[in-house]
Amino acid sequence: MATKPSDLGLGQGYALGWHDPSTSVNVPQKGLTAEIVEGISTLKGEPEWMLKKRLKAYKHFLARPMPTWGGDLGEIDFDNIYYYIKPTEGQVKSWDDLPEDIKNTYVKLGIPEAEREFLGGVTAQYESESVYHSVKKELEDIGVVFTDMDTALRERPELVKEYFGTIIPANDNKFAALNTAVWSGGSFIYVPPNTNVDIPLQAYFRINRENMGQFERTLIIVDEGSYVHYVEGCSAPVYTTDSLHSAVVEIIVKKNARCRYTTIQNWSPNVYNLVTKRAVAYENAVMEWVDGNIGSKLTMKYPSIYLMGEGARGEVLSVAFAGEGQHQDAGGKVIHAAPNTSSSIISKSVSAHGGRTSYRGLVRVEPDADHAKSFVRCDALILDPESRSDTYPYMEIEDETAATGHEATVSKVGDEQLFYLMSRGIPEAEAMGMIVNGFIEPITKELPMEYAIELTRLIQLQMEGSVG
Amino acid sequence: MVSAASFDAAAVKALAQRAGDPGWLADRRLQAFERFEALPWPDPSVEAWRYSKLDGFDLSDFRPGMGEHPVVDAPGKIHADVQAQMTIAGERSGQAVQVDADMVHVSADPALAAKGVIVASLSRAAADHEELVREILGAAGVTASDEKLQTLTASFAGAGLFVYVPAGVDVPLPIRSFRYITAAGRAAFAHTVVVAEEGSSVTVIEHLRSPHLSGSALSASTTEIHARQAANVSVLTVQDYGPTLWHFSTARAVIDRDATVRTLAATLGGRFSRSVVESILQGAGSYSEMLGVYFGDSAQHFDNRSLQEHIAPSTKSDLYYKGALKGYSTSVYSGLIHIAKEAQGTDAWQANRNLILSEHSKADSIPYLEIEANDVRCAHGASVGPPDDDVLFYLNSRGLDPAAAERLVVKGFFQEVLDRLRVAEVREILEVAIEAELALDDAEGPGA
Amino acid sequence: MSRVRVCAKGELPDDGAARVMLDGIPVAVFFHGGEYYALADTCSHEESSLSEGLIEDGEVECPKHGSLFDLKTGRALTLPATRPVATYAVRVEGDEIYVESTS
Repeated sequence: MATKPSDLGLGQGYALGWHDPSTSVNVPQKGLTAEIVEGISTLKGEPEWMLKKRLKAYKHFLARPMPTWGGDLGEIDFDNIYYYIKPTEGQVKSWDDLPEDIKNTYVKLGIPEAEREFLGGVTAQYESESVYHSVKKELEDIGVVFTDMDTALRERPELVKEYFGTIIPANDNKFAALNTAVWSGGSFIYVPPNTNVDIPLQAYFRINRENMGQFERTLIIVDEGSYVHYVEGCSAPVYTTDSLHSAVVEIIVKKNARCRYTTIQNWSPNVYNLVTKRAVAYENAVMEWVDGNIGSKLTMKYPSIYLMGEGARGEVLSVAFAGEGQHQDAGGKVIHAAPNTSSSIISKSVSAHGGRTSYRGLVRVEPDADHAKSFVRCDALILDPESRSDTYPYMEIEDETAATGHEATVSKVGDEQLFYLMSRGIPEAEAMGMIVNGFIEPITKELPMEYAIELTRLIQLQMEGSVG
Repeated sequence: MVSAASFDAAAVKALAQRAGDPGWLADRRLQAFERFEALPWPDPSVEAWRYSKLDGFDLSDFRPGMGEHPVVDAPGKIHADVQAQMTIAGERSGQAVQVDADMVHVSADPALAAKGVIVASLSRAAADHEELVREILGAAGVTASDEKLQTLTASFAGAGLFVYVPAGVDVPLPIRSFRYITAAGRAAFAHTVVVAEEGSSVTVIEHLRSPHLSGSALSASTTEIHARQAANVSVLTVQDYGPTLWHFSTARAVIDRDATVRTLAATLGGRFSRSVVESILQGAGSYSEMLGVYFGDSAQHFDNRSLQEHIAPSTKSDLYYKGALKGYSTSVYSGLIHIAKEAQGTDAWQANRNLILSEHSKADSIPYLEIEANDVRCAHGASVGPPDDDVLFYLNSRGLDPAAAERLVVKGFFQEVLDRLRVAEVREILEVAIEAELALDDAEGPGA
Repeated sequence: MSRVRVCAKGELPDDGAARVMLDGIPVAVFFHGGEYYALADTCSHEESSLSEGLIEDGEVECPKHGSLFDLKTGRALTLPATRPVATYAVRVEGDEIYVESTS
């Protein structure tokens, strides 16, 4: 008989649950007004057109009602959140120039080691502003722009203006409107044609101040024939009042190009994580979302791909864990809007100790998007009787040559499997961990090794807390 | 005797009087009508109606029946035209024939009546077995998304079949209910109740037909099934109306401990057909098999909805709906499997497969899962697509022309569901219908 | 070719819109920067009326999900719309404004 795992360990003794006393240079008030929106734009020295966009988006945010589906958003108090804080005067180019306490934050997160060994460059975000920016010489030499959005707006305004808001317009949904009004930080990547970026580009985020909202805006443009892999992983300290994270990610993958965007989200369990992520893939382009949702109180996130060019391909790999008090409402959307496109969505979710995972997805084939092929597979493991899993897959097929399929399963850890491992001398907790890891293996094998190891270890810890 | 009556409280009262309803049943009708008037018509902003627009549906196009068709005491006395349409062959334990809004004949094997089996029109049963009918009517519960149609049916279902099987009795042959609509503008309602007491068994076959009418007509029905402990009930419905009918049906089965209910929703006809089939597995060890078959052509729209609700442990449900769409037809399937916390040890399966046979047809498939227990095995699948190119190529290379190859593929496609039907005559009638659909000229567009 | 009267000249305010039916299809007529434009009213993304959207810089924004359409060409400038909307011709005859189908 299945054991009762304790909570996923995120509520008690949360390994990364600490924070620095804030060193913010100004102390703005809570809540949002048009003046604050203007203030953000002025402080950043933005061009007029961006200010106009922010103000228009703010109006949309006020006008749009809260969504009535998905998770429970009833407790978000928009008036009780700080929408902008500037922690240091400007950006630094090398590790040594960072303020000491901020450096400590990143030391604990293990950045310098990782940076030395792995990464091409790090745009690390502390509170709302990018404070550490290091771009390796190699990237600069091949013409790859990897910077934070504020810098990009300053240095490459024409490029930003061309694409900003074209994938996710301000009025797309309430939280995209909020983000467009108050966005700050986030990454900007431009890869010139026929350029392969071999090393994954990374960024880290932090929510540090109580009631701090995080509204990073990311824009990635992969020009024809190029490749880039962007990795984001984030962590936040524990607080009792709720934090709001509402990011927007827009990605353009041009003809024959490929982009992979990997996220491991591990926000502490008081965070509302409401994200709009959307990519467009043109002729023969490939877009891959690898989405890991481990933390937060509620995540609502459906990475989307619009296949707009012939032969384009989209893939969403999603893994979600929901422990005590958590609700992961995630999935993916693919819209086939050109001939001979293909897509697959693979979702693996695990719920335990009262947690709830929901898969929510859409496969849409537009008329004349002929010979589309799409396959969706969602598997859910419910580890104990208190937990829950839902599946809401939508299929809207408007072309007769489309071949689409969707399969889903829900089950618990098989007794026979567990018994087999235990009879080989493996303790129950470890056996559970092995089985769960095996269950999510199709996704973890796509993660950069560092993340895969971290994730595997995290699961082992959770399972260990569960027996005896 | 036909007058231009409309759907109002006066018409409800007139119907109750004509049917000889006892006071409580007449009151119940009026209450249902009040509720009907208070509810709005469903529109696409409601999730459950998102893919089914009621454009072109206008209740004032139809008139409630006024008793046009007299009751006859022997099946041979049923109008010849109607008799000619009763094409499901085979022996039966009982039969009911409804023409438009009127139940013209109900009868059953006298040997069964002697054992306490009741096969009667709803009004008759309400009069003769008040306590029983009063307790049972509506006990299966309301389907919230379709309440507007359900309340209309509850008000105006003058015809209606009440089947009651006492404990331990086995009704050996199917009871056949035939419903026929004769002319445009008619509105036919049916409220069917099947109660199988402990350890009993019964099969009901419903066959709905009409000729190709010059204008539209309305058919609405509510079916309640109560399968008590260890009972075995099958309700197989074949809807084969002409292409101008609006058809709305809801069926709800409440299944007790160790009981089994098998349903078939076969949809062939109508301009717009909505079928909701719900299984409430409230007794441990209960089982529900839900089969569905549909074949659309011209401009038909089919909406099939299902619910597999598991609220007791060790329950099992198995849903398999397959449909083919040609011409300009469209279909939507939406089904929910809900496994409550207490329903540990549940096995729940659901599959919807759609075969697209023309350039202009379309299928949407929305299967949902809401699982709150963990010791379960649950799987669902949905697919939409044209016949497999590889298979067609193979058949072509074996000398079959494209039409013959497609025929073979489509027949093979449906065979999987048909093979699971335990009543041979229903299987046969569907095989014939599928052949007929395949033979239809695909060039027929909307309005053809 | 069919046509329908929209309104009198000057009746539409700047950045205003009207909605008329032409051959059973809803058409949105806009007045922006001194010029008239006409597009199919139903957004190419989902059921929504473009005549209720905000107009700015030669573009109309669908009120449902914010897709921007070019007033002159009907082209979809942002997602989530992936297809253009049809354009119609606007004729000013004396003091009357008409919209016509272009075929």
